[in-house]
Amino acid sequence: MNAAASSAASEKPRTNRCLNIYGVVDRFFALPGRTPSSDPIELELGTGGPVAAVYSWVDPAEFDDLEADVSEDGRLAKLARRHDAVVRALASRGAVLPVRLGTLCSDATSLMELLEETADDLVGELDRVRGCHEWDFRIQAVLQSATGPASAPRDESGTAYLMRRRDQRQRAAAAQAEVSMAMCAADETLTALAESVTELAVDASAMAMSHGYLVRTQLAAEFELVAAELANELERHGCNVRLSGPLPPYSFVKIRLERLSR
Amino acid sequence: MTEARGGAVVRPALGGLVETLDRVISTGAVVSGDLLITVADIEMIRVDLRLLVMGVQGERQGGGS
Repeated sequence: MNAAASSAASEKPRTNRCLNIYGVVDRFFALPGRTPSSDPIELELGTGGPVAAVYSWVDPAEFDDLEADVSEDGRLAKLARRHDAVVRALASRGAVLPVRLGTLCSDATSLMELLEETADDLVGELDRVRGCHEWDFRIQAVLQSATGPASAPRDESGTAYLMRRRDQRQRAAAAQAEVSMAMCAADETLTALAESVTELAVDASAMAMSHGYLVRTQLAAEFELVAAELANELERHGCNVRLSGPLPPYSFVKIRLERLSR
Repeated sequence: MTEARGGAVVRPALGGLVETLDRVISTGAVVSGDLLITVADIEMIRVDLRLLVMGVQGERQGGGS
């Protein structure tokens, strides 16, 4: 990106246009030349103190009535994928604090003032995720039924039936305990390789574990290898496992930016 | 990006829509206050999108995909 574009404060707001913010980065961040998207956009850097925000100019109407089309190729999907693609591209070039989809700012001056007012917090957050990526490890147990087959042998006595049911329940409980221990062991192993861990949203009705791990780039290969081995082990316990990464540190940026004055 | 499903490692370019939405809407830094324009009220958009994600997710699970 050229020098003129990096001076956001000098930009004049365009009619019916606003800034769509993707992420916060260091002041002298080198923007990618092209956005890795089927819908290329021109990224600009708006600086404020020691930090900067990456944005593009958009028509706010792009964000209206997104519910009208939630298909895989709808406007919402395109906006989400474009946002994700930009954040990923930024994360591949340096520390980035992802900003939520749909964060619009009326003008570059307001953005610059926001960055200046919250610079201390932003620098701290950037330092916390610097040199790291997020890896998500999701486990969902597929447990065997505690009741087993409904049909019983025709000549089964009442006592035999009760004993069979008790054995089934005990086997199911033992299997559940085994899976639970395997999940905890996997989490402990992965946590040892991570700078930080956070719980991701899971289906509360299921026996599942879903954690995000903030992992240093130097340990990424080891983390991936260990996670793949754990995934195989958990699969033998009847679990479905999914490892995703490396990702921008989406789940580790919980900062809320608010202007103190105007 | 790497994704391992049941131990089998595959490398898709990008995740599915629901997973992508979950990341770009539910996580990351939030800007609040009078900085936001009102034409597309962000807080409202975010709330709507959360509901939307749940709807999409439910629809997919119901459809067995």
